[in-house]
Formats: sequence, structure tokens, C-alpha cells
Amino acid sequence: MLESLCAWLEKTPLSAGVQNVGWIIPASQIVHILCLAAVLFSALSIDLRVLGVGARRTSLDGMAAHFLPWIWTAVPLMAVTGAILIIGEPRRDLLNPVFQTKMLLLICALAATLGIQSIVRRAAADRPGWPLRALAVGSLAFWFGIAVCGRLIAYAT
Amino acid sequence: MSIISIATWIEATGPARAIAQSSWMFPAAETLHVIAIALVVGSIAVVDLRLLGVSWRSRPVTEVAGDVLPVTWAAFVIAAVAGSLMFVSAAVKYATDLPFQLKMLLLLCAGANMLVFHHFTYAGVEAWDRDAPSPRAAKVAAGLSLIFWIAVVTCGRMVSFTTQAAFGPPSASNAQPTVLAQVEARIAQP
Repeated sequence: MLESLCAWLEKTPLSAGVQNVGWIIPASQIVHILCLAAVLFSALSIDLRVLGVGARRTSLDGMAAHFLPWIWTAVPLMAVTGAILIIGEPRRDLLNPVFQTKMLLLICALAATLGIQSIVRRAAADRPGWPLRALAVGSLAFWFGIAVCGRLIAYAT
Repeated sequence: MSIISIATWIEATGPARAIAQSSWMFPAAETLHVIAIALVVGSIAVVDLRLLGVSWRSRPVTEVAGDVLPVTWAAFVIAAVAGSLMFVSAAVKYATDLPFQLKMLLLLCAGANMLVFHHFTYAGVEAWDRDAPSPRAAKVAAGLSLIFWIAVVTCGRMVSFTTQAAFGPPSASNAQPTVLAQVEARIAQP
């Protein structure tokens, strides 16, 4: 099914356009990486604060309130730039097990982030219980795992 | 002693050749490099946006900087080490690549901007610690910082496009192309 989707996508004018207009792929990749910077540092800041690592001048509430909006703004933008890259080279991504793993990890990362958000909003305690701390560890593993997979896509084609 | 002769010597050393011929060392260094750079840029942006008065205006500048900058430094060291490992493996190719040269120049600019800011403007921070935005000199430094670092990332991405198109595999003496060369050849295919 993915195979026929790729076959269809690579014949579309949109796909040809992305590949042939020289600046589209590099520009999409650069925006994608800059958004990654926002997501990784935001997730790191929140998750380390949950785990009690590093500076504690800001409350957990405050950290989440500041950094979560960055994650929720950057992720849709990464979806757009990611979609452009997929449309340009469907087989390189959609049929690639490293890319598929990355998407699976993305679902996990989003779920963990939503979990953290909902717990922090409901219970403004500054002593996180184990569910919140488990989600923070998971969030770190998932977001950084996504970044690793992202770079290794090129090596798995 | 030209840049090319120094670079030729560098990439002929044992460790450099080991990286060039290994199937995993370059990808590992590159992955670490991208993640580390993402953390450098992401963290610096937090401080810059605070100085510009755009974000986290409720916190004093010194607090934001104090919390964030240790991450920036640690990530930068990791990025520099990983970058050096990649550079030595194909030193001639990178040293003669225009985007790479531009990237190094921009790094120097970013560093100089930071030094000037810390030495002159930040020295008097108590007077404007709680102001948002910060005084004009601080805002200029913050704006330049964002521009320089985004340009560094841009050049970094362009390096991979230019080096694969213009150059062949790294000059390892064995006939088998390295993993990197195979990947580059594959990517260059239409």
C-alpha cells in the first residue's frame, strides 16, 4: 500500500516541483532543523526540571508554561517541512525503516508530551510523582531518538 | 605550508583514516553534531529572545542566562569535537569547500559578538536586568547572534550538498568506497 502511494506521489507535478526547484529541499531541511532546535531544547528544559536536574529557580509550572507553546508551534511546522521533503522523495522516506521508526517515536513523543502537559496542569506540585518522572524520561528518549533517526535516514537508503 | 598541504597531512593521519574508512564513525559523529548544534541554537535563542524583550519578560536576564548558558557551552563543546572528527576524515574536501569556509567565518563572528557583548554590555547588567527589552546594545547583540547562528546552520546544511556534488570519495588508499561515499553517490542519483 505504501509502495503504491510512493508510486503515485512521485508522478505528481508537486513532487517534480519540489525536486526541481533547487532551493525548496535545502530550505525545508534548514527550517526543519531550526524547529528541531526549539523542540529539543524545550523538551530538555521541561524534562530535566521534572527530574530535578539543573537549576530550580523556575517552578515546574513556569517551565512548562514557557516551553510547551514552543513545542506545539514547532511540531506543526516540522510536519509541513517534513511533508514537503516526503513529497519530494517519497521512497527515500516512506519505504525506509529508519523513517518509519522515526514516525513511531514521534507518536510516542507527542503522547508523552501531552501526558506531561496534562499532569502538570492538574497538579501544580513541585515534587513530581513517578508517573510524571517516567513520562519525562520517555519524552527525552523519544525526542532525541527522533533526532538520531532523522539523521540516519540518509544512511539507510 | 598552504591550507591544502596542512589538510592533506591531517587526513592522512591514522585517526583521520580510521574515521574515513569506518562504516559507523562518521554517521555517529554527524548525528551527535546535529543534535548538539540544535541544543546550542535552541538555548542561545532563549537568551537572545529575552534580550530582545520577546520572550520570558518576567524573568531577569541574569537568571535566564544563568540557567541556559551552561547547556549552551556543553553542547558547543560536543558539537566542536564531533565536527572536528568529521573534518579530519576529509580535511581537504572540507577546507576547500566554500560553505564550510563561510560556516567557520560565521562561527568566528558569533564568537566575537558574544565576547564583545559579555565584555562591554553585560558588565553593567544589574542596571537593566529586569528591563524588557534590554538596552539597545544588548538587543543588537541578540539580533546578530540569532542571524549568525541561523546562518551557521544554513551553511552547515549546504556543506553536504556542495561536497557531494563537487568531490568524489575521500582519498582513502583502498579501492572500496567508504560508506559516506556510497551514500553521497546514492543521494546524487536522480
